Amino acid sequence: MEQESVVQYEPVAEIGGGAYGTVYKARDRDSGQFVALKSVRVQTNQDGLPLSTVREVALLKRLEQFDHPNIVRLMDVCATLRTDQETKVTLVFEHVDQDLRTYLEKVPAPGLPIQQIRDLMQQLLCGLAFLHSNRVLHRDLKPENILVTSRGQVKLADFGLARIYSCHMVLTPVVVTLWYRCPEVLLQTTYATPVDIWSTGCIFAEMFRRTPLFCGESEVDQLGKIFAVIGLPSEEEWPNDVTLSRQNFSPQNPQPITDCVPEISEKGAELLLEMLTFDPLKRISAFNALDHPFFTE
Amino acid sequence: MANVDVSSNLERHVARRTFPLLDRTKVCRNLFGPVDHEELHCEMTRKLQEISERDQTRWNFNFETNSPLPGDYEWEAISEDAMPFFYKDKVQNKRARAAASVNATGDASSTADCGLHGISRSPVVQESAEVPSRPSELNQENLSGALNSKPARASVLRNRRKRSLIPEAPRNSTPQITDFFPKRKRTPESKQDEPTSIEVTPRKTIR
Repeated sequence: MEQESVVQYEPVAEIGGGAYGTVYKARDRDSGQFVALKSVRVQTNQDGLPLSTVREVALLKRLEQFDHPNIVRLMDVCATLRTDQETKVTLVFEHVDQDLRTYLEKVPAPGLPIQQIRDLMQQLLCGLAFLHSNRVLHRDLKPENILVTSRGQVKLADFGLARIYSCHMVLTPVVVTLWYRCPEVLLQTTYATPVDIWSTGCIFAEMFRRTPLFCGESEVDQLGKIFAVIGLPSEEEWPNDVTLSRQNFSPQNPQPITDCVPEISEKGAELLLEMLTFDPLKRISAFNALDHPFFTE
Repeated sequence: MANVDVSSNLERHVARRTFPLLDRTKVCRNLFGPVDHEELHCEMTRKLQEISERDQTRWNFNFETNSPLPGDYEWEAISEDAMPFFYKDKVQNKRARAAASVNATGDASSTADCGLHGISRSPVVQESAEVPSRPSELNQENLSGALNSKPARASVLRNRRKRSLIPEAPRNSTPQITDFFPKRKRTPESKQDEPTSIEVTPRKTIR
């Protein structure tokens, strides 16, 4: 009788479809290294796993071979068939116990010393230059996706995964932050690697401010907040393939960036402005940013 | 070695399933003889089982039941709040599936998205993976007011930050974000065609 009921009622999924609540973490007794699991449920069709997922996992594994110091380690990818329609893909990552957001929250009053910001930025850009040179966009760079080890090592996380989630998430009401999003994405026009540089600029400013730079509440509001600082772009700069017209925004002149980030150095302000450039083609690249005098001043 | 088989209806049926491209052709070339689908299915299942066992041994963790086993790794279940945001499971599967079936008809964006992730890796990446933002990108102007009026489900994130909630419902009238991507060359259809040769071969199971 009891056996029967066990067979009859097998757990299908946790409530909410995800393990909100607990996450598994482990310590390797041999190396002392910590790992953590992140699982993604992928719907499978008659051809098995979606090709995009297979590709994405292959990409993550390929990037892994470079063993880049500023990319979170992906130790393994384990797939288990849950049902005919669903496969659970478990990613085994190295475990880092804090992200840049908690890191910045913990910084006491005067804020981070500029030398430390320089170091964090250099590592961040280094990881980003690596991704970009491998033709990978992060696209959702934010302090929550930047891990900082206890030794101050920066590790980028969560790139590429978006496409693994995507087949599920595209139609779900998903909550996302707009604060690190660049104008070209907000305006729904074509975008490329400069998107990550914009986010990096926002994060750079946040390292000094310890509070986000542009906190928009909607796409339009986000753009408004951006233009209040960098000024309303000229008619010529405004992309012509967008539905949102420039007339929706009031004309504004650029504000001195030091008004928003008073603690920044002169070279730092230069670099920040080059990152927060409206035109993605004129925005500095990760590679060039690493050569910026800010890092040697 | 080519063995032309026109008569066998069963084989034909099977071939159609396996090679959708050949669906409309009159003649089916059968190069390697009939496939024992049952055997292949068993073989694949066995292989997957093997892989799963290897994973389980390597990590002393049962990924199927999500439970630790004794071994080199000392596993502990810890609260998500104690972990960086990144490690949290963000996939809302049930809801996604429900929404997907509701919107399955005539929603080009969903198919396009699933079909295109793979090609968007180049520096001139078009859209694809900015998954969370897609629906909003379709119609942000019209909805800008409603977008963040009720962050109803924001509670799923420990994050106290304000984020915008993206509605899934109305998005027919406004241009799709995909309209703005002149660079895209492949359509979801052509995308599907292409992998058949690669994908289909190892998978001859009929479910």
